[in-house]
Amino acid sequence: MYDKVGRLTGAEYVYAEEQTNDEVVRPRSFLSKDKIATAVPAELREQLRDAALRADLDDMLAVVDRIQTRAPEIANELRSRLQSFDYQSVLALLESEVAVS
Amino acid sequence: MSTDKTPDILVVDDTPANLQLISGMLRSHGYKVRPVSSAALALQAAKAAPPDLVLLDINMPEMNGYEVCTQLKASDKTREVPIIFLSALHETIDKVKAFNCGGVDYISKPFQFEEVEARVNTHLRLKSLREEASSGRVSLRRLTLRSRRVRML
Repeated sequence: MYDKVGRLTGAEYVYAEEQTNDEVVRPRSFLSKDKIATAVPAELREQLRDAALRADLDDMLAVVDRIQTRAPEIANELRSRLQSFDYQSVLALLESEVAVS
Repeated sequence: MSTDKTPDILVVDDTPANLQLISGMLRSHGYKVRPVSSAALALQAAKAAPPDLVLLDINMPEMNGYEVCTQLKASDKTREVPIIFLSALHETIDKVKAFNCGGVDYISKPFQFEEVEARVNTHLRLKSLREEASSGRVSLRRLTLRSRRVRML
């Protein structure tokens, strides 16, 4: 219809660009497997992974408390995810890292 | 459940608010609680470290509580773990399905915590007695008497 109107009136329609999903979706946080691998010793990463596989929240939070002194930002983000029971995303970060190393 | 060990309860519910509530109440009564918000993680956690008891929601995305229960009962590692369903479903057929797939009890939501704790305690005691009986430390007669007492509670 716009084409027809354009031909009849000589008007030229300029369409706004569509917003893609990539522009809408923003990263959940700054946390990445690389950051964890760099800032958190392997021993603590392994302990956190073990506790996550058992869904042992007390143990996971205890490990995060030990991470706090070395990497407070990472510890805070991990704690936040664990307190909302999002173990899967924490495991994903650790599993990926383990697979690479 | 042995007397020298804090009972370890795996709580499975996809609603974080429910998990917070149930976990907090059980913790405050001295239980060790492992809260899990997905069926897949629950299966993984139960196999990695079998709990003393599972409190299991039915309506969950991806895999419902019946399927989780069936898988736990199919594994040698978790077959003996008592599973109590905790659900907002009130139809008799839902409760029958829960027992048929291996659940030992069914608590309807909304629940009173006193009821949850009473049932949890009962099934932990029964599990403990079964374990004692199978290891030959008590006679079958003593087990029967105790079970009757537990049921009376």
